[in-house]
Amino acid sequence: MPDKAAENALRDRARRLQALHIRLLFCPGTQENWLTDSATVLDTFGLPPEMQDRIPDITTDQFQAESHGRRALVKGSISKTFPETQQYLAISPGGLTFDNFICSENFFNPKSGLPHTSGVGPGYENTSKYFFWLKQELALASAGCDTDLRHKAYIEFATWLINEYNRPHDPYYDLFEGGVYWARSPGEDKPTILLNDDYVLYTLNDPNTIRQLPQIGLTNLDEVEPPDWPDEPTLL
Amino acid sequence: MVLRVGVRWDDPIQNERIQKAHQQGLIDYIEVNYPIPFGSNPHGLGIPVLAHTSSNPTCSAEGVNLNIARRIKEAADETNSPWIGEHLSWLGTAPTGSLGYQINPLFTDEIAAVTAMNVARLRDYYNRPIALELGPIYIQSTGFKSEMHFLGSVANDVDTKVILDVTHWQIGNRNLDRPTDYGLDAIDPSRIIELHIAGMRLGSDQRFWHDAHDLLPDTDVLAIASQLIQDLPALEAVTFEHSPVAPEEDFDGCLADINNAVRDHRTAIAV
Repeated sequence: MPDKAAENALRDRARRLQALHIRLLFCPGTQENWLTDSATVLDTFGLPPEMQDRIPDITTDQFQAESHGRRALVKGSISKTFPETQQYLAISPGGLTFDNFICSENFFNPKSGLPHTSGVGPGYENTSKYFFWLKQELALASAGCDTDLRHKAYIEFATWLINEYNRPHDPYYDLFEGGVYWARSPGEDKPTILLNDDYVLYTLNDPNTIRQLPQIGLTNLDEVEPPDWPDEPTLL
Repeated sequence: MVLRVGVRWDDPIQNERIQKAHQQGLIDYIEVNYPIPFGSNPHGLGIPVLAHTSSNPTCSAEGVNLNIARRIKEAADETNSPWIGEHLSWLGTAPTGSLGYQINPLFTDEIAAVTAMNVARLRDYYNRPIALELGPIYIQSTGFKSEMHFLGSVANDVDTKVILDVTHWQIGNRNLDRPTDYGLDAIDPSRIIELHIAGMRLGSDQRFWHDAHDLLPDTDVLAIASQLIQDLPALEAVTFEHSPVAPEEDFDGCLADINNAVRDHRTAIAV
């Protein structure tokens, strides 16, 4: 075993290699940059030029096959949860793409997501990371947003949350007992949309009914955010 | 040599078919992939357990998440698992979380050194032997001669056991245009304690092979496994990995084939 200083130096170099290789596997933008100017990419990741030979040839069929598989798995899980949202984005001018997400910090940062239902903590699925990324990038919680897109994304995410709630889950998902609701348009009280935990969708216009939703313990989807999860200890 | 035959447990929906196989004397153990779904209790099946996990990034420079390792240790202690199966993998770039299926690491000297440190600490923490396994490979190694040489080296450095996933191994050999038996000599045979057997499929590109637990092992994999059962001196377990939603008749049929391959190496434990 190396001493602590040597181990830290080794881990630091390995950490940078790991970050670069994983970015190359998932992100087409990083691949393009690598093919154009690998020296600058190495520098960006804090790696000296001699580390280039540690990185495989990304133009081979083998690399592209693995990269495709990695991306397809993420894409599959997101498309399954957000089919209408993705369809809408695909025909929207300047709409955000899957590549925008998979190259974003939100994708790589586990703290951008909710805790996994199995109790292993945040960052073990990509669905919630995608929703929070979309909400942030397109300001879906702000007045003046594209309310059609907001409606589709919120319904699809709410359905996913209720699915998670309805199976054995981490206690975090008790938050969604009864269902979730949100304003059809940000900043306007009505109509309010409610998806209950039996998957019944309501459009509520009565202010008294709407006021009662938080009082009976239902969660406003606009207030659901990735929790402030503590840094977890590692075996180092 | 006495071999045991087992199946991988991922989900409670497998319980019925697994219990039936155990009652018929087709399996001796379940290999439980921890952490398990909330509320599930494979230990309640009353079948011996081999502890396994795909959730520790043993090759990560960030180290291994202690909360996950703790859950695996507690399960292995409770079931007195003779060893814990671990994958040589990354899960992402952060100290926790997973970007999807396990990611093969770069097979380089620095990653091997980091892996050796991680695995040694994990083994000390578990206070139990570790058996290391590779995933299916697509990309040529950039440091070691191959991923099999990387596995052999780390296992020697840290003195661990090895799980030879015959399907993953053959996927790697096919994807990298190597002979069927490529790489086996890179691993000390006395370290190979367990075989994994599962299905594989040829991708739509008709070029690359992929892991496919919903399919049955192909005839090559079964033939290779049969020969390994005869040849490997320290082999103790053969685990069939099959999707919980794949047909039950496939499950039963493959277990019969595996039992036939194991023959007199196994003392069937009918209950």
